Amino acid sequence: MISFRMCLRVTCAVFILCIISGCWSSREIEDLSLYVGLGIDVGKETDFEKKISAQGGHYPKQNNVTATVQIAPGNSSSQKSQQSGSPSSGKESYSNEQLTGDSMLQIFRQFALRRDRPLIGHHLKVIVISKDIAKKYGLIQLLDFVLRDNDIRPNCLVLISHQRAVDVLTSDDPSRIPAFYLTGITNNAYISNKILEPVSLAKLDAQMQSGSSFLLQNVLNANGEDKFSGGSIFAANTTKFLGELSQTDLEALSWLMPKKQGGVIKTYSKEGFTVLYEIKKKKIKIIPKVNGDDISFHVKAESEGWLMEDWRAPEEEEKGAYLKEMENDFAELVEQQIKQLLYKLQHTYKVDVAGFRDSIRIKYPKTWKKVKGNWDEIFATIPITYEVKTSITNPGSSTE
Amino acid sequence: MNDSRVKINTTQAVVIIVNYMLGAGILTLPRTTSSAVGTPDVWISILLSGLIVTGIGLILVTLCRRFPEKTVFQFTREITGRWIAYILGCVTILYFMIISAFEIRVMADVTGMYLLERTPTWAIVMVFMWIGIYMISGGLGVIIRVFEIILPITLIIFVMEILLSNQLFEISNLRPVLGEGIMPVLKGLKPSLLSYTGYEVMLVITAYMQDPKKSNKAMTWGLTISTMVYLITVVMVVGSLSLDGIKTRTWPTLDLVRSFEIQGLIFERFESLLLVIWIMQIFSTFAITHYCASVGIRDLFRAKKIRWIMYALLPFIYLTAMMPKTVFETFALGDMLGNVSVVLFAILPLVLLLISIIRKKGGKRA
Amino acid sequence: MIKRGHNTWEYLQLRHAEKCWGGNMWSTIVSYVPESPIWIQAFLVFIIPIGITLTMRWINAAIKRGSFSRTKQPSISSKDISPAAAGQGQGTETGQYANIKLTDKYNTNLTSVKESFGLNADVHIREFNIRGTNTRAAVVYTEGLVDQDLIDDHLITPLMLEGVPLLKQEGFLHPDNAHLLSAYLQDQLLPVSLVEETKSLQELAVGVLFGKNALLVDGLPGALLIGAHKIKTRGMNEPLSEGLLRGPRIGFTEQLSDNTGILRRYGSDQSLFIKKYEVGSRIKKDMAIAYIQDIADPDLVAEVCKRIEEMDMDSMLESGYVEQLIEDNTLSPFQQVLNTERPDRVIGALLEGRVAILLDGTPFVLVVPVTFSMLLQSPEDYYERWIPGTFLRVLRFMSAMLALLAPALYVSFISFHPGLIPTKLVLTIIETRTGVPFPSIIEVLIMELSIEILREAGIRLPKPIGPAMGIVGGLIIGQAAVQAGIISQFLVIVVAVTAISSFTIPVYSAGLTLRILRFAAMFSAAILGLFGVVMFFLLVCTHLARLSSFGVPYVAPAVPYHLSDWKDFVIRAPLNMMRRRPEMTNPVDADRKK
Repeated sequence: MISFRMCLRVTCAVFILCIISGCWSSREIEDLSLYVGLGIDVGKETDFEKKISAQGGHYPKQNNVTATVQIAPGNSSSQKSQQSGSPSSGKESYSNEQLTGDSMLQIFRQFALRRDRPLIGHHLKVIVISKDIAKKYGLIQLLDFVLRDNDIRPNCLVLISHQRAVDVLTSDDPSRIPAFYLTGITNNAYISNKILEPVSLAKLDAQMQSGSSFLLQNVLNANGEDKFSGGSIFAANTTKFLGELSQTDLEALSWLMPKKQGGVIKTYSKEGFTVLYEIKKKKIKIIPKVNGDDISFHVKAESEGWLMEDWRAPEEEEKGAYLKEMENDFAELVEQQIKQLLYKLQHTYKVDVAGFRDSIRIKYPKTWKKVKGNWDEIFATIPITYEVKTSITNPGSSTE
Repeated sequence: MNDSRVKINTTQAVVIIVNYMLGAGILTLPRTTSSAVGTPDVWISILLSGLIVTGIGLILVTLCRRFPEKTVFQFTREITGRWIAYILGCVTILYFMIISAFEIRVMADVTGMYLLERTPTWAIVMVFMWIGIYMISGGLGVIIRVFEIILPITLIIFVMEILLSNQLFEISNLRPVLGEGIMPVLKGLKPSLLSYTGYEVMLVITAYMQDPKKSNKAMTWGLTISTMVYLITVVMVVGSLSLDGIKTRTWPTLDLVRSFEIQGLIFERFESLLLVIWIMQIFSTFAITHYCASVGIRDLFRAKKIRWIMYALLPFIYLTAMMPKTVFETFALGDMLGNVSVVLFAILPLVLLLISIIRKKGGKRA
Repeated sequence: MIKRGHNTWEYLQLRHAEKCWGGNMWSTIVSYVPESPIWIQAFLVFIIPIGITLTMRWINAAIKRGSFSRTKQPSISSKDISPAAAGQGQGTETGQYANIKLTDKYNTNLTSVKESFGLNADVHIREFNIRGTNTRAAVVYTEGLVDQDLIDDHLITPLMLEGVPLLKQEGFLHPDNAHLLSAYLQDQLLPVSLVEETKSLQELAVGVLFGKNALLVDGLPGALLIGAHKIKTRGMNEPLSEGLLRGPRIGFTEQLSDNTGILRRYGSDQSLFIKKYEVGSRIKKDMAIAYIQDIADPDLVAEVCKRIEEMDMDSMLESGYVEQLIEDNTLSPFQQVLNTERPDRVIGALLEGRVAILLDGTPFVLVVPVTFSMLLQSPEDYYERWIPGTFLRVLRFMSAMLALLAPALYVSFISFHPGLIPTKLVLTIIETRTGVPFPSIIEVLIMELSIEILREAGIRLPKPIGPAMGIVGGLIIGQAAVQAGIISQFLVIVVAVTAISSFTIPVYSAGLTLRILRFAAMFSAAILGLFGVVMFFLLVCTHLARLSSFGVPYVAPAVPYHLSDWKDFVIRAPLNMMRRRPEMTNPVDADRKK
C-alpha cells in the first residue's frame, strides 16, 4: 500500500516538473524584434551581402527581390537615463535592414542568422512595393507569403512607390517612424479627394481574387520625405503594374466612386482669380443601361459645398449670379477632369478601376455573367455620359 | 455526484443546444457555404437551412416525447428490435465521440496557429480534456451551470466583435440579391446544413427535462438563436471581406476580426477576445458530446456508474483527435460527420417516428 | 460480382484492380493508425485524471476521518463524548470531580468544595447565617468573573438581613421538607432572575468557574447556582475590518448574550428563533443558531443543526473552527460560510432565509448558506440609491476580475502574444524591458510575493508606523526595483492596480481566496499563455459550479436563470422592485413585502 502511494506521489511530482519546464511558446517580448514596415524592391545586393558572399557566406538563390524591413525600436546605444524608461534622444527609433533573395520567407529567416532577435510580423503596418518590381512580378506572387503568414494581420496597408521602396521607408527625422507616418497619411483620406481609400491586405486579396483590375496608392519620395500622389493601375489577371494615374486623375476618380467624400475644387474665375470650393456632400449615381448586348453608363454627380477661398480683388459682395457662375465653372472643371480620366482608363490603359463593374454586377446580374470574363476590353468600348452639378450652400464665415 | 435524474428546465435545454451548436463551425462556415453558393446569397441559404433544421428538430423532439424519461439509446430498443437498436446506438455513440475528437482537433489547430505556435499539440489537448472531464464528471447539473455562465459572455462578446467590423462592411458586397436565381441558394443548403449539427443533443436531453412538453419550445428557441448568430456572422464576413476575399482564407471569421484595428480602445486587436470565447465554446461542445457518448454507453450496455465510462472514453477520443494528419483531412472529417449527421438525425428519427406510430409503441404526447 | 460470360482478360483486370485498391486501402488504414508517442499520450490522458480523482477522494476521506492512516483508530478519550450529549445524561460525567454528589449536610458539601475546586486561588467562599433560622449558608464565587453587586444585594442581603420570616421557620428546619426548602428559597427568598439547581459537584465546579455564584445551604441537598458572569466587555464599536461609510456603527462583541441581544434589538421579530448548543468537549462554549422561522427553509435549519451536532473538537476557539468543521468542501479555496462582524449584514441575511451561527467568545458571526455573489456585496449597496449601488457593484465585480487575472494577462501578453497588444504600447514595453534580466513570469512573481509579504507584515505593524510604512514601502520598493533594473515600470503599474483592486473586496476571506488564485492563474499563463488563462477560468468556473454550500449551488444567483434573482446580483434594482426573497435559499415565505 505504502509503496503504491509513494509511486503515485513521485509520478505526480515528476509530471508537474515536466509541465513547469515547458512553456514552449514563451518568448519574452524584448527578445523579439518587430518589423513595422516592409519594402520590396528589385533585387540589388547591399555591400554587406556582397562582402559576405565574397567570403563564401551565400546560399543558392537568385537576386530577384530585395526586402527591406523596418524594425522598431531600432538599434540603441543602451544608456539608461536618470528617469529610466522614456526614450532618450540620441536613440534611433527605427532601423532598416535589407537582404536580397528570391523567396520572402527565406529572406526573413536569413535575418535570424544576423540578428539576435528574430523577426515577428504581428505589427506590420505597411508594405511598400516599388513599381519596378511590380512590373516584373505580379502582386499575387510578391505578396503570397504575406497572405499566408499567420502572424501578419490582414489590415496591413499596401502602397506602391514610384522609385525604390527603401527610400520611402527612410526618413530624415529619426524620431519619426516612416511606417507609422505613412499609415497616418492614409487616414487623411477623408479630407482630400486626391488620395485613395487605404487598401488593406484583406481588400487587396479580395480584389486580386475577383479578377478585376485595381488601383493602389502611389508614394513619391524626395529628400527623405514622402508624399502621396496618384495611383498605380494593376492588370486583372497578371496583377502586374500597368500604368499610373496622376493626382488630378484621382480627383476625377472620386467623382465616379460613390464612397469618396471630401476634397476641394479649384478653378479660375473669369478674371483669372483663384476660387476654391470645398465639397461637403457628394451624391453620385452610376446608372447602367443595358439594351440587349449594348451597355452604356450615365453618371450623375451632385455635390453641395462651401465656397472656401476667393482671390478676387477687390472684394465684392457675392450675389446670386456670381455664385451661379462659380457653380457652373466648378462643374465644368470637374467634367473636364472626368473626361481626361475616362480617356486614360478606356483608351490608354483599357482597365476599369472606377468600379463600373459593380453597378453592372448588382443591377444586371445576367449580363454580368456574360461579360465577366473580358470586362476590361468591353469597358474600353462602352460609352459613358456624365453630368455634374455643384451647388454652393455656404459662402463661409465671411460673405464678402 | 450522481446523475440520477437531474431535472433541467426549458431555458437550460435551450442553453445546451446553443452551446453545442456554436462550435468549430463558426470559423469555417462562411467559406464552405460561399464556395458552394458562388453568389452573395449565402445568407439566404443560412436562413433556409435554419428553417429546415427547425423542422427536422421538431420531428426529433416529437419522437423523444413519446418515450418520457428515456434517452434515445433506451427507447430505440422498443421501436425496433434489440439488434438494430444496438447497431444504431453504437453508431450514435461513435458519432458523438468523433465529434468530440473533431472539435478538439480544430481547436488544437487554430490555437497552434494563432496563439501558441511552438507548443506541442498534446499539451494543449491534454489540459483541455482534463478540465473537460473535471466538468462532466460532476454530472448534468454542473454542466448546465457552467454552460449558463459561459453562454451570455460568449454571445455578447461575439456579437459585439462582429458588429465592430462594420467599418469594413459594404452592403454592395451582398448585392445583388438572388442575382442568379434560386439555384445557387439551393446549392448552398448542403454545406450550411452540415454546420447545423447540434440539435441531436435533444435525443439525450429530453429525458432529463422537467417538462418534456416544452421541448418543442426549447428546440425552436435554441435553433433560432443559433441561426441568428450564424446569420450575423455570415452577413458581416461576406459583407466585409467580399465573396472573393473569402475564397482563399482558411478561417474567414478570424480573419475578419483581424482585419480591423480600433485605435485607442484597450484591445486594439480584438482577435484575442474572439479566440478566447471561441475556445470556451469548443470546450462546451466537446464536453456535452463526451457526456452524451458516456450516457449512450451507459444506457446501451446497462452499466451502473457513468464516471468510469467517461474516464475510459478519454484515450479513445484523444486517439481519434490525433488521427487526421493535415488540415485538409480535418475538414474532410468534418464533412463526413456532417453527412453522417444528416442521415442519422434527419432521416432516421422520421423513420423511427413512423415506425413507432405504426407499431403503436410509446405513449401519446406525454 | 463478376458476371458470367465476361472474358478472362476483363476478369483479370478487375481482380488486379481489386487487389490494388484493396492493398491501397489497407495501407491507408495502416497509415492512419497513430504512432507510438500518441499511444503513450493517450494512455497519459486517461491515467492522470483517474489518478487525480482517486487522490482527491483519498484526501477527502482522510480529512473526514481525521487522520491519514487507516489502521490506527483514534482512541475514544474521555473528552470525546459528543458535547451535545454531555451534560444531559446523568452519571456520564467525566473529569476531575466526576460523580461526586452533594449532600444536604452543609459541612460535607463545604469540605468537598474546599478540597476540590476551592483550592483555586481565585475561588472565594463567603459563609453566613440566614436570619431567622440561623442556618449556615455559604456563597462560593470566582473573583473577577462575578458581579459583586449581585452577590451583595441580591444574595447575601435578603438572606442575611431579611431572612426567613417566623411563620416559615418551622419548615426550614425540617430536613424532610428538603425539596420544599429549595422551592421556598427560589420562590420567596432570592430576588434573582437566573437560578439553577444542581446535585453534582462537577456541575457546581463548572458553574462557579464559569462565573455563576453557588449557594450552599444547610439542609438543602445539592446547591443553587445563581446569576451569570459579568465580565468587562468592550463596547459595540464598529468593526475595524468591515467599516462602511454609511450604515449603523455597531458591531458584535465577544459576549454571546450581547450578540443575541443585538439581534433581537435590531432585528426584532417575533419569529426570530434562537436555539442554543454547547460545543467543544473540553472547554465548553455556548453557541446559538438564529433564524427567522417564517422564512427559513426547515430543511436548511435541520441540516445546520445536524452538522453542528457532528462537530468534534476539544474547543472552539473562534467561529473559524466551526466554519471549517461544518463546511461542505474542505479542499476548495472558496469559503462556503460567510463571517461578519456587522449586525446589519446578519439581519439582512436572516431576512433572506439564511441561518446565523453565533459563538460565545468571538464577535464573528457565521452565516450560511453563502453564494459567490455574497462575497462581493456590501451592505452599503443597499443603503445608497440604486444607481450608485449598481455602479459600486459593477465596479467591484470588475475589480475582482482584474485582481484575479491582471498579472496573468500581463504574463501571457508579454511572453506569448505580443501581437495582441496595441503597437504603440508594444514599442514602449520593449524599450522599458530591454534591460530587465528576468522573464516576465519571474518578474511578476517577485513583485507579487513582495506585495504579499508587505501585506502580511503590515497587519502586524504597530499603529503609528503602519500606514507610513505601507506607503513608503510600496513606493520605495517599487521605484528602487525599477531603477535597479529588476522589473519594468509597466509591471509596477499592473501590480499596483491589482493590489488596489483586491482591496475593494468587502469580505476579507474572499480577498484571501483571490490572492491565492491569482498565483495559480499566473502559473497557468506562464505555461500556456492566453490559452492557459482561458483554461484556468474554465477550471474555476467548473469548480464553482460543483461547489455547493448547504445544498445551495455556489454560483447562484447567476445560474440557474431566475430573473428575479438577478435583481440583486450585478445590478441592484430599485428597492421597490425587489419584491421577492431570493429563490436560491428556498424560503418558505417568498414575499419580501411582508
